[in-house]
Amino acid sequence: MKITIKDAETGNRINMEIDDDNTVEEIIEEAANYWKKTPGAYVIRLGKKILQADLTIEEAMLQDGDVIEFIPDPEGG
Amino acid sequence: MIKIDSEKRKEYKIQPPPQHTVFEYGRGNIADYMQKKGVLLQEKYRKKSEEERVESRVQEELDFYIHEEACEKMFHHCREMALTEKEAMGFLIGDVKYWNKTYAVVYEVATASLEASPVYVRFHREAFEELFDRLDEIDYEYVLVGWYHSHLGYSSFMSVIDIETQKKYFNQPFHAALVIDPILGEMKAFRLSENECVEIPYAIFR
Repeated sequence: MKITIKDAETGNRINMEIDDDNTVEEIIEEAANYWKKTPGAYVIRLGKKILQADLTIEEAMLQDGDVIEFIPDPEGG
Repeated sequence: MIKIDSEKRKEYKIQPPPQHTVFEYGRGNIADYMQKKGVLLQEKYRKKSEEERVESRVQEELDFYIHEEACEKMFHHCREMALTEKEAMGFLIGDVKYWNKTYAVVYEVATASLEASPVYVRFHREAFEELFDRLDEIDYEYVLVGWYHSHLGYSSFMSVIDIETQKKYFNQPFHAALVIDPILGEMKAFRLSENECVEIPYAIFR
């Protein structure tokens, strides 16, 4: 299955090929490593939902062509 | 198996920067501008903060533009939150363009429910779905060009926690942080340059 990951901070996208037995966490780690980001620091969205890292592809209901997006979770003081 | 097939980098549109500026930082007084917009608050809303200030040098070249409506939304958000003695925060949404140099334009802002105090702010976990709704309304290939948050009468500067956020998320050369103080009448923009905090000029356009 092919999906797209979007980095909201830059607008860049990567196209990724994944298998049904992959987990959301593995996808996040792969994209985060590629962009040199901290994997756990982001909120990952699929449409209007937050994707939980511990889900499998099936549980997350990811489908071919889906776009998931890295959203920052800032803190100010 | 996971395999990255290809990367599509965002292409920067070649376009002159906005021409109809209504305010340019360094040439006008932002407190007067905020006064005209009716967003300044009285001294009684002022809070104290022990936050450590990170010193910043100043960049002279203008490469950050904010649409007037987005600016007013931020001002009013910061004012309303200050009335409840809390900091405000949101994303700066826009695009990155090129005209002799790279520049960023803020067309809109997005916020949602916050976990906030007089000296701290972040999004509520449950608030992200509100933010996603807002992002889905945008009909162009947006970029989060930065973030804004407020300080309640202890002036506009980057604190240690603000710098951490900037380094973690908004570390590209076009990214900025706006810090708004609706009590002292200040709005300053900052960015990271070679891992150092730099105050940058900005223009508000119509």
